[in-house]
Amino acid sequence: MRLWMNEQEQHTHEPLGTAVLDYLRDQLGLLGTKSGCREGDCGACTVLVGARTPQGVEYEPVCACLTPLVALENRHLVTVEGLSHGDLGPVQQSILSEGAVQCGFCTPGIVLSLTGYLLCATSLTERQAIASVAGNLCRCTGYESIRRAARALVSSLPALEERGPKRFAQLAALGAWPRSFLSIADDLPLVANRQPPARPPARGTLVLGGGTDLMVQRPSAVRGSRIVLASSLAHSCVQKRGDDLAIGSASTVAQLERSALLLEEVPRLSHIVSLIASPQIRSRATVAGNLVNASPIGDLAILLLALCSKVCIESPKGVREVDLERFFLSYKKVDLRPGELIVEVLVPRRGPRRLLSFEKVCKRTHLDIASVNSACAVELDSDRIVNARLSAGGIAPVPKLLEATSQALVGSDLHSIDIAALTKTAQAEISPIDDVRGSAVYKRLLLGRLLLAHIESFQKQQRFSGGHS
Amino acid sequence: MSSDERELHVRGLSRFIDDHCLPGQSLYAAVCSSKVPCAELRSVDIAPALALPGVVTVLTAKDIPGENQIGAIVGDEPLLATDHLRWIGEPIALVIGRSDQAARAGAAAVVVDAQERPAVFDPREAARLGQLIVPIRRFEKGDVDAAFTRSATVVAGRVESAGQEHVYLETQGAVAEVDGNKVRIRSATQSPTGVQRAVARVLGLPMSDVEVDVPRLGGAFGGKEDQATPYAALAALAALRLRQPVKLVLSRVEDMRLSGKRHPYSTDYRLGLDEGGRILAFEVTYYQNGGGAADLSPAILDRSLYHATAAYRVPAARMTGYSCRTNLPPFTAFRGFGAPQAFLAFEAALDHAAQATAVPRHELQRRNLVVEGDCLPCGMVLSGARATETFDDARKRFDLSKRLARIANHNACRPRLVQGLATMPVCFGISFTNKILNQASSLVHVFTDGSVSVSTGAVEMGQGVSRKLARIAASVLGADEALVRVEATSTTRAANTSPTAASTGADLNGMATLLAARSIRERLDALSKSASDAPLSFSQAVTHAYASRISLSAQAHYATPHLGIDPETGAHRPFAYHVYGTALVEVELDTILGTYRVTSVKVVHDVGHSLDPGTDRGQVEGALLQGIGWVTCEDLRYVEGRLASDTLTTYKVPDILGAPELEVVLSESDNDRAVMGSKAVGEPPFIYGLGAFFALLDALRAAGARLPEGEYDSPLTPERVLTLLCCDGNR
Ligand SMILES: Cc1cc2nc3c(=O)[nH]c(=O)nc-3n(C[C@H](O)[C@H](O)[C@H](O)COP(=O)(O)OP(=O)(O)OC[C@H]3O[C@@H](n4cnc5c(N)ncnc54)[C@H](O)[C@@H]3O)c2cc1C
Ligand code: FES
Ligand code: FES
Repeated sequence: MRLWMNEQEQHTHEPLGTAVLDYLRDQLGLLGTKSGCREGDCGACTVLVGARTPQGVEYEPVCACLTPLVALENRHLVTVEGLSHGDLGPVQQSILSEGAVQCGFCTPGIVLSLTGYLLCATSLTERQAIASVAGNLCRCTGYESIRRAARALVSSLPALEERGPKRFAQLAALGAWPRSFLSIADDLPLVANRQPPARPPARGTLVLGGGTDLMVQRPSAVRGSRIVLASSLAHSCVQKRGDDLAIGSASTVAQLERSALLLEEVPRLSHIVSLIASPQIRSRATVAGNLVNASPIGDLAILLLALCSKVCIESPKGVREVDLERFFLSYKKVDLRPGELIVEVLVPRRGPRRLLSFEKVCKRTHLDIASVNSACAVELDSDRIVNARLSAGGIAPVPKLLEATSQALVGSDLHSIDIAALTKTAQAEISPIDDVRGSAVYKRLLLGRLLLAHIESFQKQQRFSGGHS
Repeated sequence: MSSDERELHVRGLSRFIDDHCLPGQSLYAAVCSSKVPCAELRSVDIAPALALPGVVTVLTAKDIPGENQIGAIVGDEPLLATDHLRWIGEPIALVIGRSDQAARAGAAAVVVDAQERPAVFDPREAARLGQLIVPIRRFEKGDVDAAFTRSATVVAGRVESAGQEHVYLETQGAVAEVDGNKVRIRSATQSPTGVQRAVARVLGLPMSDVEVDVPRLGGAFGGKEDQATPYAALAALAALRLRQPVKLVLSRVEDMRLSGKRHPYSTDYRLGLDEGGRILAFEVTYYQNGGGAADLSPAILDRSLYHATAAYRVPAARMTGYSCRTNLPPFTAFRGFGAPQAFLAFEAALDHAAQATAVPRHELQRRNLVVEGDCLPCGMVLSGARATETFDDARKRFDLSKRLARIANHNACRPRLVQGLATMPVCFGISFTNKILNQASSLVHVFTDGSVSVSTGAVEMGQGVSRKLARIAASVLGADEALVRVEATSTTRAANTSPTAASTGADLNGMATLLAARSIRERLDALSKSASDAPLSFSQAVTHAYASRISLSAQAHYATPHLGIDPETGAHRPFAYHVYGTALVEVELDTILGTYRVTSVKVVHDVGHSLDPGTDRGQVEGALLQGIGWVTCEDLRYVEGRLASDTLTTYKVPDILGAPELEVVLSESDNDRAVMGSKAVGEPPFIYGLGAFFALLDALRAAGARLPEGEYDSPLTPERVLTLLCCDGNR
């Protein structure tokens, strides 16, 4: 397998499921990338991965601990060592000058996240620069100095050129990007964003989306298996298909966020996405992975349930479609047989007719898994709800469509909903358990409050859109 | 080459323990530990582990050549368990493998036969059963009972404060090797001498045969004061046995399961005030959950007792502390060292009193702050007190009354997001409460080119002590600061060191460095005087001194003066001085969901004459966010003695998007009790974070929640907040 490792082309025969972190540290002896958790939660292992797509070379931050080597094929891997020849760049300078480094363990990861931001930012703003390090935990600084560093960085740089070669050249001139990387961007071969026909995976292989679930749950299985990347079997675009949107199963959360089509269906898309994991995880985590891992609190699963989605599954015998709510069978069990592949998720397009509310409550607002999450989609005729789908996670063994509660909403007036009765209906549909994310009592309480929050959100959206849709 | 640590960090060049001894260069060790909280250990079968590929050997208690004991204060902690198991995670055997996977697989394969016994997790229950780590601690000042009788208002209640995981980003670890006839250990410890002593004891060697080297720590916060010792000792045991380098680095999950945390406390309080809202009497009983071995618990309890009255003047006080032995992993030092638990309890009592008297909390606080000349319950008389000064400065500078009016206004129309505010004053004693530890030494070499090397016992863990030491040495010597190198800590260069802890790293080691540098400077000055009329530059003086065969090295020792019992007055003086400050903490609470944000923290913090304002600011900011985490999102959950929140996925520390805007004003003043007029800064600001707890209570009340009287439970997770919001069916 071939990749570009900082300034050099490299070939490796390591098992394809090896974590990039181990490859860097144990094989190459590159020790600047740190291991703080091996679960994607600290960002100390952040590296950049560049790929040539039809739109040009794009770099994304990823967690080296949860990225398998195979995902680097024909890609450019950038680590702190690659950014540290010669004089310090503006990212490092601003971190130093603002005192945004104490013990230093988190620092290389922050350098990489901020550099990644400069490469792919749509514009230079303090808010976005800070959001780019949202996946980097620092236990020492209290973050204020990191914010100062982000601010200093943003204000020290001129307006950015458009993304792509011009941007790379500009950043190289500013010392933020090594010149030697410019020609690598030219050399990188195109990595296909394969369009269907999709192929079911060969027997005995392990399908890997981003690996953000599997590499946490079963790292040794990933290392020891023949891996096939979902992105080599299925596409990762969001397309119109008749009355539906077809979301490629290999789409990452980051790709979803960039989809203008999906934005039409989910107006608060970027807010919702910001509540899912971290930038590093979002650039790897796929839609299918979120559904197949069947976590009872999967955020995409909850969102897609409310959006009335169907799963398209390909097997040697052909393609079948399953309503998402039928796809989840029981705790961590889904309607997917060996050799089958999720190809697409179909979402009926309703546009502005549909109001959508998504809520997620956790101990920490960002980069946390929900205690309870919930989505609700309604269609209104004037103030009357004519169609409703309410889903919730963390309250049952599977991500759940609350059918009875959804039914109960239909026919109600948005402004005179009997919340108490609705909550009672919902309580009968759920079976939460005590766990580390909250007691069953709390989760029941929370679901009632989430209903309230949904209704309030709809009322606000209705007011905002001038009343009727 | 820069001698600045921080430049190494941004370039990814700094090496931590895990960056040493890569695969092929060493063996790996993994710990097999107890799966049950309380049991008699019947047998340990290592054969299944030995049968696995890649496993080199398995060591148990009987392989320990010296004494199987690492307890520093109380000798109650065997390195490897012998006949009892006392907590889940207690080390039983050490498996050495050719790779870390092999070692871990081996650790999982060891078969432990144990007869379970009933376990105790609740400190009050342990106290009832008489399971105390040390005898009850108690002291009293004034006639407490009479003062309560005189009180117009008396409130009493209970405070539960949970533990806290350190989450230093670098996990515990050590690498050990035997070099000829010396055991060398690289350890991520705050306490190099502590490790050296424990290793020598366990291996049956003189301390001079053991060298401990600490290059730097990837965060520690107290978590590596005592708790780094077992891993260093285990690695050393294996290295001596196998005569090969051995590396032992815990994974995050292992670290969270095995290592100690901040002590949970269960506390009863009673507070009496006169009609004017002035405190007359305070009584407090702490039930400290010590876990299964003493570790530093007794010392931590002492600090709780010393800080029982927080930043307030309390004429009569009775303090009682139980250090309770339970079947949880031994709890340990964490920034604040028992003081945060005491502050939380006192502020809760004050909050209770504010409710009872309908005097605003900040008013009650202001009325009762300590002032110059006050005598603390421990007997220490305050001099240089700045509690009222910083409080008033914060109040004025940040316009407290305007803020309160704005918040009241905002909350008046019952919005979904209500706001809350709390003021949080600090008065924090500096010195190890164990008097012996208040000493340090420094070894300074000046090289003939004018560059300088400083060696002390101070471990650099991000708190910036090296910069401060460099600054001190440079300014005393007249040398270029960029040419002063502060060396990694090694027990060979600095002997009998105290842990880098209790915020004293710069105070003690800085003063020793100042003394050493001064004696070199005096030699240079004497020489300059005799040599010529024109003053010599530093490098000229150095060249001249070398040519004159005058020593360019010095070693000096410093011991904090005036500590302990004054033989004349009998007054007790546990601290060299106090650090003061006040924070304003604001929060915003979602009254539907029970979620919240700490929106801003504004602080006036007393730094003396700061040796490095940038560093001090960073310490304040970092400490206070840890304090906020402790009382909000950081939620340790145990199920039958097993830690359920044992990953960063389930244990949440504050992140950048959730962290409030911080504004820290460093307030300078004179201080003749520490090096160059500076003040210690590591721990006191942690207390500011506790303001978030009371700001949330404020917001809850504004939302109409009727909070249970005299019950304070920390942390206020979103779960607890929603429960409090709904207990009355609000909204
Ligand atoms: C730090 C961190 C934070 C996280 N935060 C969140 C969060 O906020 N919200 C949330 O919902 N989740 C979160 N997750 C969980 C996880 O990232 C998501 O569920 C993600 O979408 C999983 O996708 P993946 O592609 O990485 O899955 P993978 O690990 O690659 O795969 C998961 C499963 O899906 C199978 N699979 C993948 N693609 C296909 C396919 N096309 N057809 C058939 N089977 C397939 C795999 O074989 C595997 O069994 C988080 C994870 C981490 C590590
Ligand atoms: S090591 Fe923590 S995110 Fe990778
Ligand atoms: S500087 Fe220590 S974790 Fe960020």
